[in-house]
Amino acid sequence: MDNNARRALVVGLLADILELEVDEIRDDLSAETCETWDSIRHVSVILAIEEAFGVLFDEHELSGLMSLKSLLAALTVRQ
Amino acid sequence: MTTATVDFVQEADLPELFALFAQWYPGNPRFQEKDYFDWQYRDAPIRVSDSAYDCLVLRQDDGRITGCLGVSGCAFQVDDQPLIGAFAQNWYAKNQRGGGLMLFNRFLELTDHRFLIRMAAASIGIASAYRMPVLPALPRFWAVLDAAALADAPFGVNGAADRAVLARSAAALAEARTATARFPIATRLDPDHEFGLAGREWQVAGHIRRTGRYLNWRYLDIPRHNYALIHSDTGFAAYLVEPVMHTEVSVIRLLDWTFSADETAAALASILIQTETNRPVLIDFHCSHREIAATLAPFGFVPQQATTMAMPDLFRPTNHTVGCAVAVDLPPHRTLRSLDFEHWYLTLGDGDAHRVRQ
Repeated sequence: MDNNARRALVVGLLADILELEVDEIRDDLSAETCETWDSIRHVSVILAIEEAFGVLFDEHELSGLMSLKSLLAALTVRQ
Repeated sequence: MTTATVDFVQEADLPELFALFAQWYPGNPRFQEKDYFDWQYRDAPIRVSDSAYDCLVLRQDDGRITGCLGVSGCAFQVDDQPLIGAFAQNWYAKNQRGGGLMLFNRFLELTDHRFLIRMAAASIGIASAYRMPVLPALPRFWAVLDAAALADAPFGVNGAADRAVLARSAAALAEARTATARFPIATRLDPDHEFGLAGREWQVAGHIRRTGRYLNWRYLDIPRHNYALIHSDTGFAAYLVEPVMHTEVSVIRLLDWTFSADETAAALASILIQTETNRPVLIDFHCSHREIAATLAPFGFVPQQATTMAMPDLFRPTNHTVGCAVAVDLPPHRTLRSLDFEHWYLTLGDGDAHRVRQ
């Protein structure tokens, strides 16, 4: 999967779970900038991404993956 | 991501933390008591850190505390292997943009053997996402001391079929009173004695170890407690009497029970005599291990599902109506696993929420 396809899939999942429009999602989207990105939705994000990409993040990574940028970086390393 | 940090609470932080507990847990003022906090997070027999307290706080850049997760060390016995682990309590980080996860991840770093009990819906969601095996509700078993009282308000278990269940249970429990042996209330346990479950009549896959040292701390050293303990050489029970709100009756809550079948009648009779001035109308036991709970069945203990109208489970101070959820997280972490909860011995005694002395 190339970077654009990967980003599109992640953005779609984030939009769905965080109740955002896709075109609202910018590269700097994070829990800091997004009102709806709380701990509970974050675990939903993680589960959805793990399922969509067939990956499993280490438990100690999870709280560090609360931004679009960090999610994409973690996926890039794994694929 | 929040810019907050997680560290262990310091003595100087306690006034601020207790003020937050007053807001977060208005129904449980014990949390705000220094001696209670000391007992729980400083004086526990198993500590998980060398900090003043085994209690994590979420701290903002300006120093304000905005979240908390308390950690209680415990010893597990899992398939004959002793393990040191911990359980989490007082986890609170509402609206902290990931602060709750930061606290939780720090807890995970402290031990590989984790136990969660009385989880709220949010905690269950997070535990599930971490792929921890979760039991949504500890099975509850109860027996009847006063069928007429349970048919009336506030219990209201009064359908025709349900009345028959209550009557049968009451008759069976009354049989226990014919036992002549007695177990007196213990004032202190030998710290080096262990009420083990290995080699008993049940197959037990895992449990929190019940050493005298741990039980003394858990049930007797807790400030202003109203627990009572009875025991034989091998069997052990912890219980308390919970008044039923807005009534003059009470419920006996068994928190721990490991008496053998041949000691059950005498142990129950002892408890019934020790509590009779409190006008108990019901006795209940939350326990994951079906065989151990089944030792009580001959004396009228039935599963919560035995009646069509649910036997209320809310007396005070903790709302169990949605069930007491537990999770056990042993390695390998973050992998899909199942846990044979029916062979794990877990009870309400494995956590502490009975903090309000009546």
